[in-house]
Amino acid sequence: MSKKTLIAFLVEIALYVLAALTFYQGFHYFMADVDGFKHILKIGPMFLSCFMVTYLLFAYYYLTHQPNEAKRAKTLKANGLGFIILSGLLLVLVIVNLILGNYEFGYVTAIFPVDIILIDVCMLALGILITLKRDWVLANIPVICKEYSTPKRLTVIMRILGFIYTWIALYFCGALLMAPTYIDLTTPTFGHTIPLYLLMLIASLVLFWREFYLAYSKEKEMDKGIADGVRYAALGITTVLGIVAFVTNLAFESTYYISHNLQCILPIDYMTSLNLGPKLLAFCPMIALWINFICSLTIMSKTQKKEATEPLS
Amino acid sequence: MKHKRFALVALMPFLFSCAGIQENPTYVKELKANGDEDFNVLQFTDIHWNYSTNIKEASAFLENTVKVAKERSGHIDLIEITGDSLLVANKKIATTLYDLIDSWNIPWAFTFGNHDYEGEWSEAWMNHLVSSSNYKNALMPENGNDGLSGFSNYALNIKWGEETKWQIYNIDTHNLIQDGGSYDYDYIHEDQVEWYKARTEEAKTNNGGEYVPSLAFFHIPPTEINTIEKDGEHLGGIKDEKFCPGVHDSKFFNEAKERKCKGMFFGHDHSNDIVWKYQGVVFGYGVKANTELYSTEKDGISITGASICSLHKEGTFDLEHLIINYDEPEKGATSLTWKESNL
Repeated sequence: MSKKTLIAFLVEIALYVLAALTFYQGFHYFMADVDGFKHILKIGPMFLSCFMVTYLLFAYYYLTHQPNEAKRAKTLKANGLGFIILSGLLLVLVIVNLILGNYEFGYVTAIFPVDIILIDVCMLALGILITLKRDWVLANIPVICKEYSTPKRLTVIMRILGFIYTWIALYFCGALLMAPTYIDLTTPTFGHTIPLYLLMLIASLVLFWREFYLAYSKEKEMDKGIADGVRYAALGITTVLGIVAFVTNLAFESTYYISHNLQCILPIDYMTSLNLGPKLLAFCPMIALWINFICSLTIMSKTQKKEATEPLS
Repeated sequence: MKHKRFALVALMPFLFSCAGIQENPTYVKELKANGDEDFNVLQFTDIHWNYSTNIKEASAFLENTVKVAKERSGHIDLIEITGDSLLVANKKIATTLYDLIDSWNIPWAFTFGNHDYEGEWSEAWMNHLVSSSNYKNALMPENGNDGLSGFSNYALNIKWGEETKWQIYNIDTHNLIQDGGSYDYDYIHEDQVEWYKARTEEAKTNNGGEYVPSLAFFHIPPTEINTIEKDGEHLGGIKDEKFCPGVHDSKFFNEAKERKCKGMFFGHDHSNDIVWKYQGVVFGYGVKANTELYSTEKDGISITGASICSLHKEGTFDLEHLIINYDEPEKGATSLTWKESNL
């Protein structure tokens, strides 16, 4: 892996962590006003500013996974404008809220509203930089790897599923990073939640591994033994943890272990009265890995078939 | 059922973490009435402070409500907060709310609602925050894992001189109860009813063999609300949304009415402040103390404010629903305020 690719990969991880924290926080602001959006003028700029970091992550991902230079340039131009317009608009709304006295210093985070102003200013500056120095950006941000190859007829659906999976993984990564604010190891039922905490971590590790593996294998074929070892270990661990988490959810359904330990990270569950979060955590990483595994087997068998039928030159 | 048994065996290590249950403590505290005067209890419910709340406005509303309540009844001796005082929020918002309540220098009792654990805090942190170990005027004991379902179960003996003339029970109606793929609202559990019975028997023994009149405050209405709507005598207030009681029948109502419980008050359904009298028990909602999440209006006035129970030494009480328009708190009690005496 070249130094440039490594740096780009590390930037992607850093952006992911930042996006996880802000996405989680923004989602909570959103949920606070979800019933009727009575305070949308106040709460809208708060959660949208947080979601801007996720937008940056997706824009960066596209830029570093699109080998077609023309498409890269076009996307960069569109995203540059997107950052300027959206963050500019959000800054105006933040200023309006400040004038109206809607934002009380320090109530939402220790430095609120400085944090959301900082996000918007950074996004605005980034948008201007991208617009003015597009060629420089294109030359200096490398293509880490191509999009993961999937059977062609499944490409669109896989992309949609990939987006949904990334949002889920981002949210739970944020929840894990925020755990010091709500975790209580002395809760009698804390033990029941351990598989779920591990799955919160695994949901993101699945994405990191996929990125690292692809980036690495692009330039140098990774040792097949190591790659297969990691793949099978990930499949095994995630499947076992997913099943344990699911069975725990069934077996201890009357012990309130979710409400005693994880209620604050599952606002959708508690507002819709649906036990959704633990099932998402139990199944999403497991399904993602199995799909990935089946796809790679399909592609591998097709490649082998093709090689077998091609005449020797 | 079979799959559950298998799961229990397979997950034995996790079961060990449930050990360490202690014997139920009594959780009884005492409060004294001023001379022969009434003992006035102000009930706040469903305050729902969250990230979108305008803290200054919401604080001013609560402060103004206390001021109006004091003007109308002379003095407030106890504040009852019947759950859902918070929603999706952080520790700063939670602390600001309870700092404000404690700053009024009135003893305050607290019961948990189904939304109180949705913020960025642990259960233990919240239990400590609203307990007497943290605030000088808070009455909720910081109990933790004592084997009794819920955290906010405690009794207050209200004394005139040396005699306990009233008891006030705070009961935890918990949160949501998981039922496979969904959640339902929880209810007052059997062990809590047993704890309540034991406390009333103790009070009876100390009262020459007579049950002491009492009130009970909690968050989620019991299932009896559906019967009472049809058969109860309507005292006041409105119903503007369907009732959302606990999922299972609790023995609490039947046990309590036999033990001289004269009133049961709760929150939970924000658009209802309706109250009935049924089989000798005054039974109904408090008044939502904010417009957050959702609330209702009548004649352009928001049904927000608080309710006041004035306990008479003789064993009867007055109930007043103090309706204060959220947008015009400075105007005080509105025309929708109603009162029933000597219940």
